[in-house]
Amino acid sequence: MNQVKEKYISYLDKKIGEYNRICEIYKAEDRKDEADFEKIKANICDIFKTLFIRDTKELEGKELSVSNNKNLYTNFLLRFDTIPANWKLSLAKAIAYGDVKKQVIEETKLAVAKELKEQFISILN
Amino acid sequence: MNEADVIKLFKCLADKSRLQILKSLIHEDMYVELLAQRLDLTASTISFHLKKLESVGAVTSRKDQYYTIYSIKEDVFKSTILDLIKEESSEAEIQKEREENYRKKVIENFFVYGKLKNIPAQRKKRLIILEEIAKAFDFDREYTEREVNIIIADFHDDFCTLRREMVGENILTRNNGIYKLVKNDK
Repeated sequence: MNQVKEKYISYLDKKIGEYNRICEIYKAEDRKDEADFEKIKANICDIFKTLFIRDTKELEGKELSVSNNKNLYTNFLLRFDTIPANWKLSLAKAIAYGDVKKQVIEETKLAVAKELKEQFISILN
Repeated sequence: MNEADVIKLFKCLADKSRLQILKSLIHEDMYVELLAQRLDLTASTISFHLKKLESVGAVTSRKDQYYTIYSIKEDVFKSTILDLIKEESSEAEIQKEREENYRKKVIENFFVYGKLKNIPAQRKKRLIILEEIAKAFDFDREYTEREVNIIIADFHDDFCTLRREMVGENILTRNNGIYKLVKNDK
């Protein structure tokens, strides 16, 4: 479990750092709106990092069997469906009402969540 | 163009990506995907910027088969900065603008995609909300209470309170169970 935890947290930290760095570059280039989108990406990574730490902490110190490990990961993987569910609804509404800003924000959040999920699965495998 | 429009235009232009988009559009009219390719930005980011540019009158769009083609609105850019700075607003215009901005803000805060989140407690805000709902009614038309309820229910579940408030604020009149929209200057 520790290896997966370390790898995934390190990946998330790297992504947060990367998005924040691009955000600063965009700010310096007077591209405020795009800088805000990068900040959103960093925030999404931060949300999943917090949840991942919380989920793994619950099982810390316990003798984990393989099945418990799998259970933890299955529960965490479910978060990639439950959390973005509202974003999907929000995106559908934004498209229907022609709210381009909201549409871009929701698409950005969903794309990051998808990438984080894929990376988590790849680490597990 | 009034002072507020000039400020909006300058704010919108103070962005590197939007300037890049305009630079591209000076040479030729383009659609989102082509701009995205040329400027190495995602199509949704380009759409977002174009929407902003369109809202301040810097670009215009037209449908061409499957694509929406964007072009620069030359008359805006033909005015000199001095012309724009010289734009003045009268006290009455400024006041009207303030009221409109306040109204817009209240509507944005209380409505989400046409649905009323909650009924404002403050009378001034509530009145704005009621006037916004009144836009769903036609003048010179009589409505039964059921019809009124159906229209208001599209905005909020508590249609009874809102209907009574609309009558109380003289937005709707009620005579023998028949409702009519009151004409006003707003």
